[in-house]
Amino acid sequence: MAIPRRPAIVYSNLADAATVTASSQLADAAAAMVQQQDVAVQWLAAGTAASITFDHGADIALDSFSLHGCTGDTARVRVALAADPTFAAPAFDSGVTAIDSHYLQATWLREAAATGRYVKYDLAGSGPRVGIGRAVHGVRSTFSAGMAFGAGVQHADDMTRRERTPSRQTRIAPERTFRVYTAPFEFMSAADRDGFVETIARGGLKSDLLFIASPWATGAQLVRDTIFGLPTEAMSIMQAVFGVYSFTLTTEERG
Amino acid sequence: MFGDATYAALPYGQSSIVTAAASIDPVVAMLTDESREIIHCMTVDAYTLPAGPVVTLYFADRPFLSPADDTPADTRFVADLVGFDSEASIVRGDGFGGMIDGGATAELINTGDLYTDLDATYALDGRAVEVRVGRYGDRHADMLTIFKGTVANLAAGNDRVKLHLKDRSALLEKPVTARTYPGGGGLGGTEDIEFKRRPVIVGEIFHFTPTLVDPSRNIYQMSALPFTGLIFGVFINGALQIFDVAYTDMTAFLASTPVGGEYTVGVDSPGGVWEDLYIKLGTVPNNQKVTASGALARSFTGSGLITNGTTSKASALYQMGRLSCGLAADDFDLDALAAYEARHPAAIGLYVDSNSDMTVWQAMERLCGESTFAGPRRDGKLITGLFGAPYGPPVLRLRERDILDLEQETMPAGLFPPPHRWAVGHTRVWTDMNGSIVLGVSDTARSFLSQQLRYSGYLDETLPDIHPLSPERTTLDDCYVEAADATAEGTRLYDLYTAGRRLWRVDTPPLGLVPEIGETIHIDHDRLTGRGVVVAHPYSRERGRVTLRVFI
Repeated sequence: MAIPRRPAIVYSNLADAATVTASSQLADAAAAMVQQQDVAVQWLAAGTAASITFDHGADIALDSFSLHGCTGDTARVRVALAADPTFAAPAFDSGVTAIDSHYLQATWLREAAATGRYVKYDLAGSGPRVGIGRAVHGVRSTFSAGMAFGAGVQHADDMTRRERTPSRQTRIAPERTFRVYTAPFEFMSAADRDGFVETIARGGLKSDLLFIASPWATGAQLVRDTIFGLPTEAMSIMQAVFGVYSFTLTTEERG
Repeated sequence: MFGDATYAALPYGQSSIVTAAASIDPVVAMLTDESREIIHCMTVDAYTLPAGPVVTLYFADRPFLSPADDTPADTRFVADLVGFDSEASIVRGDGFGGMIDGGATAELINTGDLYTDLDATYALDGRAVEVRVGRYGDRHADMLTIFKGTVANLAAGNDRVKLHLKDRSALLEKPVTARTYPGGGGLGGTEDIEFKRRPVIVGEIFHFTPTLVDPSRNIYQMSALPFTGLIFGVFINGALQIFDVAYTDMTAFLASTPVGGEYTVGVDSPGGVWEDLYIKLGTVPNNQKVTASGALARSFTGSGLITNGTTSKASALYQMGRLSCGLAADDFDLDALAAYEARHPAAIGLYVDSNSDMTVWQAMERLCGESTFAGPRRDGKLITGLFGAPYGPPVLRLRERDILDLEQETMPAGLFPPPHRWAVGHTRVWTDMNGSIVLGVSDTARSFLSQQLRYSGYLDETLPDIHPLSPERTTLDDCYVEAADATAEGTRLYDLYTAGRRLWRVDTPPLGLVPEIGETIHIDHDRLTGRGVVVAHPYSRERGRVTLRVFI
C-alpha cells in the first residue's frame, strides 16, 4: 500500500520535546537552536560533517521527518530503539539524501511509522560549516479528501523593494522569497473536522505545522510541496452540507 | 536562505557601476550589489547591572552568525533589530557649519516583552553603540560602519524598544575643565569661588579677567589646563604692569613680593606638567579692573598639529579633546585635522571663565562659526573641515540610476540672494573696559579697549543694486585673532555665495552611505550635473534611502 495521494499535516513537532545533543557545535549556534522557532537561527558545527541526535526518552512512533534551513550538501536520518543507542540496527535509515539547494530542505516520509527513542540526523557538506535551522519529526495526519480547485503555492516576495528612478531605471533591494501554500478543503469529513483539524484550528496563528501537499511524491517535488510554517489566518470551518465541512488552510513558510 | 534560487543566479541582479570591475571600490561594490540582501548589524557594549561586567550585545536585522574568520568570530547577531534611522547635518536654519549634529534611532522588536526590562538588566546609557551595513554573507569586519555613538535614551513600547542614539560628539560633552576650586583659602580659592570651575585659555586672547583666587596676596588664576605659552601682558585699568619673575616653585611664588605696578608669575604642575597659571600683583587698589592677555598652546608629541604655538580651530579641537575629554589620538582623524589646518591655519582665541560651564562641544560650536564644521565621521573619528565649495576629487559618483529623487531646496535664511557684506569678528577684548580706563593709557590702547569686538570682512556696495534683497551678514565667527584672517574669511565667504550656490536634496539607495559630511561627490543627472559638498546625510533603513543634501 502506497502513501495516500492526499495532503497531510504534522501539527505536533515531537523534535521540540526531545533532548538534543550534537556531535559538535559552535558556541553561538548550539544544538538547541534547532528547537528555536526561527528557521534561520541554526545549529551549526564547524567542519564538513556533524550529527545531531534527539532523545525522546522512550520509544515513539514516527513517520515524517523534515529538516529546514540546512547548511550542507547531504543529510541522513536514522531512528533507533531505546535498546539501540548506537544505531547498530536502526528502525529506519533514510540513506544519504541530497539537501535541496533551493529550499535548503530535506524531507523523508514513511508509509508506516518507525518506532524508536532516538532520531539522528547526519549532515555533510563542503564546509566550513554544516547545520540545521529547524528539525521536524512526528506523525502526520492525512486528510480524508484532496484539495479543491484553487490550491497552489505562491513564491511570495513582498519584502523586496523596487524603486524606479526619475530616469525610469529600477533599483532593487532584494529580500528572500518564501512560500505560501493555499490549500482549500471543500469535502472534509466529520472525522477530520473533529480530529486533527480541530486541533490545528485551536492552535490559531501561533502554532507551527508541517504542511505536506504531495506526501506521495519523492525528491525535489516532495520538498517543493512541503512547507514548515505558520497559518496566515484563523481557520473558519464551515459545514457545506450535512457531514461535509470546508475550510482553507494557508501556510506561510518560516524564515 | 529559504526562498528560491540564490539571487545572484537571477538575470536581474546587476550593478549600477559601469566602471571596470577591478577599479570598483569594495564599499561601493558592496552597496550596489543587488544580488544579495542588505544586512544591518548593531553592537551595544552594555554594562551588566548591578556590578558589571561590560558585555557586547549583538543585533542584526536578519539572522546572522559571523564567519569563523570574522571579528568577532562565530558570533550570533540576534535578528531583533527592526528599525534604524540616522541623521547627521551641518545645515542650520541660517547657514551652514558648526558642530555636526548627528544621532540615530534603533528599534528592537519587543513582541513578548523580550526587551522591556533591557535597561533593568543592563546600563545602556553612555555605552558604545556601533552600526554597520553590509550584504548578507559579508564578514562583519568588512561591513561599512555607518554609525558610532552612544545610547542617549531608551523607550519601551508594546511592540518596539527604541534606543535613541547620539553620535560620538557626545564624547565632547565634557566641561572644558572639570577642575573646581575647593575653597579654604590660598590657591584653593575663597568661599566665593568655591565649587566654581577653574578658567581656561584656548589659543590667544586679550584682556580677559583672571579669577581672583587669593585676595590677601593679590593672586589671580589665568588658566588651568596643561599648556605651553606666554603672557603678553597684565593690566590694571588698561595700564600695563611690569613683569618681575616667573616661578615654577609655588612656595617661592607665594612668598614673592612684587612691588606696586609689577607682577610675578607662578606655574603649578599638579600633574607633572605645567597646568595652573597664576599671577601675583603688587597692589590692586579698589574699583580697578585686572585684565591680562596671553597665548597658550598645548603640545602633543607627534600630533603634527602644534608647530608654532598658534592655536587653530583644528588644534583647539584636538587640545580640548585630549586634555578635557580624555580622548586618545586614535579618536581623531589626524590627517583630516592636518589638512584642515593647512587650509585654514588662522589663530583663534577663546576664554572660558570660572562662571562658565561650557563644554568642549559648546566651545567648538562657538569656534567653528560658519566657516568650519567639526564633529565625528560615521566611524566616530573626530574631524574638522572648512565649509566651502566642492574641494578635491569626488569620493562618489552618482549616476541617474543611483538617484531615486532629486530636487532643489531653498537655501538657509540670509544666504540667498548672496550677502553683500560679510562681517567677521576678531581680536576680542574679553572684558568690558568702558568706564574703567585709567589716565595715561595711550589713545591707541584706549580706542582698542573701548571696543569689545572688531570686524573685518568684505563689502560689495554694488551688489544691492543687482540684488535689492541682498542682506548684510555678521557671521558667527568671532574668535579670530588677526584682522587679516577675518578679512580673508569674509572675502572667501563672499566669493563662495556669490558663485551661485544652491542646496539640492538627492535621494539615493544605500550607495549614498559612502560620503561623509563635507566630502565632495559628483552628480551625473540630466537635471543636475556637477560636483557638490554633502552637508547632511539622513538614512532610513526602512525606506532603504539616504537623503543626501548637497551644496552645489
